[in-house]
Formats: sequence, structure tokens, C-alpha cells
Amino acid sequence: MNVPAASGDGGATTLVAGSSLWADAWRRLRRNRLAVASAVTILALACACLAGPWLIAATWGHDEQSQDLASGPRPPSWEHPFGTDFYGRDLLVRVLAGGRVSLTVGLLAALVAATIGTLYGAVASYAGGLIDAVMMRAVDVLYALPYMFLVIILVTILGKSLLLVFLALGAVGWLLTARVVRGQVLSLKEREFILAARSLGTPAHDIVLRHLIPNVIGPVIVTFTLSVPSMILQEAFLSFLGLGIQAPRPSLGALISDGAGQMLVFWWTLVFPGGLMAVLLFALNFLGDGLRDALDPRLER
Amino acid sequence: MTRPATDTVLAVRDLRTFFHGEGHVVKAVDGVSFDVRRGETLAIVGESGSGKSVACLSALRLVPSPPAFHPSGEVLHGGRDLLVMPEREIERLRGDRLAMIFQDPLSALNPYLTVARQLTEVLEVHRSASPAAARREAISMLERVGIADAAHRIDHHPHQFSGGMRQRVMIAMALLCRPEVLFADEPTTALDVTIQAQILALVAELRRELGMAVVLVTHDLGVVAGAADRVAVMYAGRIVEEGTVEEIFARPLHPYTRGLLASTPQIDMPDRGLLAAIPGLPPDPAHLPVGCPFQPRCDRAVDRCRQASPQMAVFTTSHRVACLEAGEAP
Repeated sequence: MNVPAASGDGGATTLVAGSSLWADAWRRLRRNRLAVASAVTILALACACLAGPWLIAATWGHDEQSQDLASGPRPPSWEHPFGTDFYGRDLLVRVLAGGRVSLTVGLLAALVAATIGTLYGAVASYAGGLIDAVMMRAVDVLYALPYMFLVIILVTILGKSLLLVFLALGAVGWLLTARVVRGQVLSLKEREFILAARSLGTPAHDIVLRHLIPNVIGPVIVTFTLSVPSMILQEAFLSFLGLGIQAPRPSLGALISDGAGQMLVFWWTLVFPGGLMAVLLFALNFLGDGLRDALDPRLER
Repeated sequence: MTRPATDTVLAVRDLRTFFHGEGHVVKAVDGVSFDVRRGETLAIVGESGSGKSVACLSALRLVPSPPAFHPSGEVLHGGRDLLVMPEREIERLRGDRLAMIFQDPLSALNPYLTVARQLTEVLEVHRSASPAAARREAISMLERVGIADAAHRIDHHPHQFSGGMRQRVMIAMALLCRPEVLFADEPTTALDVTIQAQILALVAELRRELGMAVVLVTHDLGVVAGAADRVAVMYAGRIVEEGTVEEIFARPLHPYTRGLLASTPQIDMPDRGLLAAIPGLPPDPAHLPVGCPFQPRCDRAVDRCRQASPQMAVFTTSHRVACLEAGEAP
């Protein structure tokens, strides 16, 4: 790995006071405008999704499930900024409530997946030899099974609740993270600082937790931010099959699949949930890139 | 085999470290024995690939196995063999009684952790020190190795230090628990010449102060002359000559040692004097020549050198050499 040397005279001394990895990363992240804009967007959308449905209910008196068949599918208006759907339900409040469900499922499932995957991949790779072979063949077997099939079995056995949806998605979604982390650790563990840590008597669990995992946090965060959108899409698929979020409650995926069926007639039923989803996915990706750069202390310019 | 003397802190006996290659066995270390005595500096000298680093790593059992294996050998410390003790016990010795510093301090320090984290970890592992006490001790050790403003610098990351400072940090980390033996694997190779002298002086000073032994691995005979008490010359995985620094420099017995000394530039060399070079290349450790490993390059080789590998012969009490022709040296 090429490491830019600290620039000659005073390069080392002019650097500000010692700061933790996270403080350093935060300072670098703030300089990345796109990442900051994305973070602000995600936060704003998350706040809107959290508080929006409640505010609308308090102001106009309708929530995501109140129907008014007489005001059937209507295009956007002052009264209903995103229009209404086939049952006369306000689309704005439904999109916000759906965003809340999707974000929760996506973030928590991705978090479960990243945690399991990181620990599993790091342990397998550092242990090496037979342990590594057995652990990674288990991953291969799970990988070979149809992913959705596993999730569907899990959801069917465990029951249909929001909590179980993200547990099931996370429990199956860690495979990619485990592989990414294993690959990273495979090269990391040959680096001299791991040898140095061993030469100082650091026990194996400390090497994995304190030396290897901080070094793979960059790729893990990138995988994490990329898996949030895919978790959101998979939740949509589960909901479509009737195994995820149950019918009157909205999720972004469910709203999009409803909207896709009638987009030529009632375009607003697709454009608004689809637009929110697209903005979220873009922002998550940009933020992931920004975080990866920020978390690498050697990228200091 | 000689019995370790009473002041011997580490005795390596007939150590072999082989690696499984593709269809053959690579003999990186092939029957090495040496003693490390309290407070002395033993230099292990040799060309790249002579097995000097692997010998040190093997003594601390840091060579991953597989692919490495030890067909024979003992590494005795405190009456116990490091090569067969449980992993948990050797972990307790590493960094506490036996420590090591490396060639490139930038790659030997974890880029993601502050110096404070890396230093206090050693004390937390071996001394169960509280975070505050570990930090105090780490700061005082950094001051001891000459890092100015240590209380402030300790919270920096390794990339914020210069090369020489990083090596000082590495040394501080290795010496935190006041080890009995410090292995220094080419500790100055990656540093500027001026910094080299400072680091070697620091190691010598700390050696006297802490009464520890230093095993200095190097290919630089200038470093050896200035820093070592005894020298072991390695070639093709074996020690070919061992003696005090005076014996090795004044009366080298092995043709390889003589070749090494002749190829070292001298400040008082006649003008435009050409440096002597040893002809040929070091042998491939997977395909060692029959007989003495040095015979294909040796100008004194005779028929019997091509038949059997020479054993270590005692020349004086401190001077040993593995060469059949050594006795008839001019």
C-alpha cells in the first residue's frame, strides 16, 4: 500500500493536537460537501418520515390508513400535495409512513448483517487453515441456496412482524460482508503490524477486535451503505408476497409496486414513492463513499 | 551440544525452520544454535535470504505454521522450551520477557490506532494495568526514548511521526515491560544514516540501563562493529562462524566472513580501490548444494568440501567456525 509520507518540514508538527480516529474522520467528512449534503438529506427525510405522519394527522386529521372512497385517485392538489390513491388515502402521509418502515427495516437489517458478517469473516480469516475452510464453505452453501427462499422460510417459521422481517433479512444478508471482510483480513494479517502485535503478546481475540476490525471498518461501511438499499428492496419484495409489512400499513416497496401497476393513468402514485426511494438510495451511496474516504487516516491530503 | 551457561537468558539449540514449497522443502533455517547472555548484544549477520530474520521469528514462534514446521530444535528460556509450550503461555512471554522491533516502523504500527492505544494495550495485556496507570507509564517510556512533548504526542497516529520517531515509538512499545531479550530485526535499515546512529545509541543505552540482551539482526557490518559484543555469521540457513566482535573482525576464519569483510567499504581505503565482491549468488534454500553450502562460491573449496557439510568446530572458547579449511587459514 502506498503511504504518502508526512510532507517534510513541519508536516508532522503543524498537525493539530492528537485526536481520535472518529474525531479525525468527522473533520475529514465535514470537508466533503457531497457527503455532508447527503447526510443532511438522509437526516431530513428520516425526520420527515418520523414526525410527518403524526403532524399531518394532528393538522388535517387523516393518517396513512384513513380512506375516503369519494375522493378516489386524485392528482396532487393543495389539499393532498402528493395526490390520493385508489381508496382516497392521502399519498403524502402514506409515502412518509412507508419511508419510516423502509428506513427502519433497511438500517436495522443492514446493521445486523454487517455485525454478523464482520465478526464471522474476521474470525475465519485470522484463524486460517481448517477453521477458515469450514467456516467459508458454510458461507458458500448458504450462498448457493436461494436467498429469498431462506428468508421466506425464516419469516414463515418465526411469524410476520416488523422485527422478524429485519432479523430474517439480516441473518441471511451477512454473507457478502463476511466475504468482503475475510478478503481484507487475509491481506491485513500478513502486514507487519499484526506480526508486531503478536510479538508483543497480544492475544488472538484482541488482535481481531482491536487491530483487524478497525482496519476493515471502511469496506464494511461501504458494504453497509450499499446493503441498506438492497434490504429496502427485499423488504418490498417480501411485502409484495404478503410476508412483510401487512396490507393497510404502507412501505415504500409496497407503494412502488402499487404505483407501477397504474403509472400510465395515475402517475403520481409511482413518482412520489419512487422519487423518495431514489433520493434515499443516492444519498446513502454518496454518504457511504464519503465515510470510506473519511475513515482512512492515510488519505490525508 | 553445550549446556547453557548460567547467565544465558535464551538458548537456541539445533533450530530448523522448513517451509513446504511446491514439491520441495525450503530450508530457511537449518540447524542453528546460539546463546544469548544477559546484557550482551549478539549480532546475527548475513545476506538477504540467509535465514537470519526467520531464525529470530522462529525463536519467538512467530512464523505461521503451517506452512512452516520445525523438524528439530529447542528454544530454551527459563528452563522451558518455547517451541512446545501452549500458545497462551508463549503469548504471556512475548512482549513481556521477550520483545521484538522491526525493520519498517511504519508498517509495524497499526495505522488506525493512536500510539496511546498501541502502547497501553501492551501494559493492559501483561500487567493488567488500569488505563490511567498504563497511560502514565507509556508517556514516561516515550519520554525515555526521546520523544519530545510525549504527553501530547501520545495521542497522535503513527503517520503523524517521522521515520526515526516511529522507530522510537516501536522501541518504547517493545520495552514497556522491560524484557530480558530484545530482538531487533534490521531496526535501522529503513532510516537515514544520521537517525541510524541515534537509534543504535538509544538501544545500547537502554540495554545497559535495563540489563537486557539484544539480538541484532543486520546485514550492515558497520552497525555490527559499533554495537555488538558477539557476532554470528549466517549463510544459507546455518551459522558458519561465531565469535566475539574482535575475533570476527581481526581474525575471520570462514571464507564467507572474510569475503563479507573485504566487501565492506573502508574510509582509509586507497584511492579508487575497487570493492571486493563475493562471486556468485547465495544458494536457493530450496535447492542447496551438496556438501558445504558455500563451496560453489568459495575460492578455497577442495574436494572434501563437496562431499560433506562441515560441522561447527571450536577454535577458541568463544570462536567457532564451520569450515573444513578454516584451520589452515593464512
